[in-house]
Amino acid sequence: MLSLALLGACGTARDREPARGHTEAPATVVAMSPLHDALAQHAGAQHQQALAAADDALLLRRASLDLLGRIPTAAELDAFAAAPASTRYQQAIDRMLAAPEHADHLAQLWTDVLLARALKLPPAVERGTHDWLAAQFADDRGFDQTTRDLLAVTGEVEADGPAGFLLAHGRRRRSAAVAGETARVFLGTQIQCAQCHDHPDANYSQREFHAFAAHFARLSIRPLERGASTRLRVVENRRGQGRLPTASDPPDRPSGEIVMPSYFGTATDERGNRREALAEAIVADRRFARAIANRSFAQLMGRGVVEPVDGLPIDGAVPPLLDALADTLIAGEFDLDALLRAIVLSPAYRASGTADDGAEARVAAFAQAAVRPLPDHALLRSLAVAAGVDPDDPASLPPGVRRRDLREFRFVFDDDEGMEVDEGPNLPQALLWQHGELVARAASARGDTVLARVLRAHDDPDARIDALWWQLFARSPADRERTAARATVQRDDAASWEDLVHAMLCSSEFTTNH
Amino acid sequence: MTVTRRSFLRTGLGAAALASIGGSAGASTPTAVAAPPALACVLLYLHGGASQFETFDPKPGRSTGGPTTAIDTRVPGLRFAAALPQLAARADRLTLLRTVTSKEGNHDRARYLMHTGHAPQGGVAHPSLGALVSALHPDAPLVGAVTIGPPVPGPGLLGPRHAALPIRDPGRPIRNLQAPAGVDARRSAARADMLATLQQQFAQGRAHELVDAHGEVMARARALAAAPDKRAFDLSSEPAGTRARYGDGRFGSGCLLARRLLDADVPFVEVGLGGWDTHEDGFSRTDALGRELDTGMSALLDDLAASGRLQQTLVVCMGDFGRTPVINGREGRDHHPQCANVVLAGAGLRAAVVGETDADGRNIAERPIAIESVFRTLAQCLGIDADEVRMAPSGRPITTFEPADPIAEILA
Repeated sequence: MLSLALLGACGTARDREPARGHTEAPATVVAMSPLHDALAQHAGAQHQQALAAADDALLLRRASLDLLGRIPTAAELDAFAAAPASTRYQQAIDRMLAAPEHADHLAQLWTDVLLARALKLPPAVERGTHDWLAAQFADDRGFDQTTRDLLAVTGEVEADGPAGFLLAHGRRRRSAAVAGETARVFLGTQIQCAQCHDHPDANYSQREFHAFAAHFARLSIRPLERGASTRLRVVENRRGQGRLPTASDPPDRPSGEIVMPSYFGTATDERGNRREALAEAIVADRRFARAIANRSFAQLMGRGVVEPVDGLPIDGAVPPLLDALADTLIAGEFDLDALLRAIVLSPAYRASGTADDGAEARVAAFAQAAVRPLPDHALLRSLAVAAGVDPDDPASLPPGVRRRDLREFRFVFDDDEGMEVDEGPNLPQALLWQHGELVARAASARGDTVLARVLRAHDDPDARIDALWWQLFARSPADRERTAARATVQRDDAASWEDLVHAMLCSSEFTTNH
Repeated sequence: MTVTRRSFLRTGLGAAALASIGGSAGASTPTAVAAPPALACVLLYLHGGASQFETFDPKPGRSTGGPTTAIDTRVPGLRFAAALPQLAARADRLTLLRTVTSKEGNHDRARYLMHTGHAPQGGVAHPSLGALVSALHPDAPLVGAVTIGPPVPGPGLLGPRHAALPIRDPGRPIRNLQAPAGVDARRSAARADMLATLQQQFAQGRAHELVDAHGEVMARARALAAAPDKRAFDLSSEPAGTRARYGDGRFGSGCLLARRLLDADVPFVEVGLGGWDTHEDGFSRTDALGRELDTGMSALLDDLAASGRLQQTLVVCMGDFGRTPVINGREGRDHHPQCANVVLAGAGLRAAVVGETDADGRNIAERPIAIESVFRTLAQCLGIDADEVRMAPSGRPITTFEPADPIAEILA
């Protein structure tokens, strides 16, 4: 699978021309893009000439993690190294954006956003929402269309289709909850605190919130049959009104004055489907484009232009960069891929993560993308690459890994966006990573793992170390790494090579996007 | 800052009794040595919000009282709900705050408030009590904090190194606590050395907070796996009699596990008891939950007292909020942040009842206690600097706890 000659060739190519390929390529891309201008403006003069672009192969790895949710395979790395330097990055990006894996990855990210903070959901709903989203992304449907479907869906539907969002947040007449989540996800603003009182920081009243929530006052979701059926009837009732809560009302059961639906002060025509009207108002609202652009930007750069990503102002200005991103999204008719493409081709995204003390300031100014942990599905898919199994085939597990191990993994790594704050690595994750079956199998010297193939292809320890660094990190080992690796494999038995790869898989480099 | 009519203070007696219990366990307790050891804390958290009417402030015979009956306690004039006979027998060791008020009537927000002392604010993650205690014990042998039961707010801006080790089910061993067969100490060390080099290389020139945290948590996991004391996590060696004394539900097992972990010098353990959100059919449910709380908490107090640890351990029992005086149409009570009970024990606190509700429990009659005061009191007991200012990543200065007066009458 991995030929020594090829590895040698690409190694030399990289050594000889560490930066040339990408100093040429961006020039053709950047000049055309107002978004890239906005990024440069945002970074400001002090960060202008800050960084050399990352090594092309490292960049391929980062983009593969961000767009496909996995590290590149050995074959992809080698093909990339052999391609003409001036065009290969852009071509690789376009190939990734067209791959079904990308739609799948994007669907996973958005499923997490849509269903976070949900009532307990059957796993089928989560899986089904993911599959439905993946189909929308694969068909290049605009995210405005997808949003309409998610909010306005009506009729007899499978629970695992577009009804997932309403099912997650709007069951049991929880119109305030689903309204709050709608604003948070699709408008990037937190208005649900106005459920009980006027917004403390913004000019947003309790009445306005309940007028927003009144769009959901006629929503009801009923199972078609009792039991295990996943068929639902999502109904827009003919009656039903939003009401203000009184002091003695239990939560979600307001009984006060009737409030007619309105959208930030504009009365909604309430003769038709109120949710449909709301969805139309949302997708036509600049807040929507900003919210979706901000999240997409954060998915790639590690931070939103405005943080937290659901902390956009209800009214008022946002940084010009966010408006430039929103414009890009609108110009592309809400095709997320067009926006993602513009970002990954920007010099900011391509800047190397390794640098000096200014790193933090540059990350804050988006002159550089932040190092961030991979989402759980990307960790799993990257492990699959290391284990030598097809990451696209969910049925293919590394030999010896049981479904149980996967379930446990998902449980331990399930990012709880409900907390809204990334708590960073935790002990159960570290224990599973270091002692669990999944990583052990991916580090195994047997079978068709990266290690097993490298051991078969090379006899010389240094060549083996080079090949491992290339396939797992997309770079050459630094001197001290080589020294440490030589010490680790001193016995030159399978176990010590497994120890080396195990340490590599446990590193920040493997578990983050850089 | 008045002490209510029915309050009792056992200044001298309480301290003496506790001291004698502590002394009986071993004359060589390290209290005589230099600085007193920083205190440990166990938080018994009642998820969903326990009804004060069905626990520590029953109002039998009143329109708000429901079918709940009350029983006498060891303290004359003080009555608990009938579900708490064992705690009633230990009421003279408890500090009961009957009038704790807050403004958060939503579960998520209240749970955050009751773990951090702050109402949630966008963009700031306040550290939880467990993380604050963990930070005071950087050399804790196993881990700085453990939470047993449902998930709770985490370390926030104190960072991953002070995240509690979560245990969902105390009866099941922690997964992956053992290196796989074939990976001996030598191989573990080789992996660790290699990983350290990789981490150094990767951290170079990066905004490396995340990288450092990753390396540190990996190292802590390895240390935990290698610690002989990790047996503390395994309940299977406890005799059947002890397990029965704590109760055989998850909460009872959690309390027993908490005792074992405190014995192994884990400085903070939280045990959650879920199911208190009794909007419907409340009275049979609160009775069962009360008995679970009664059994587990009583056994824990007894064992901590017997080993002498109670003096160096603050026991806190609280939940999301209280519940409404009005019984709704479904035989339940709804959320009522205006008045909740908080029970404290140990840590040399004076046993007392602070605050009083009116005859129907509709309003606070005397001494409302702001939740901020409760956290200031916990801080003073535990040695947490309540005024310490930390910088949130957004650059906003965050004070540990909101300004308030601690509850002076219960602090020794």
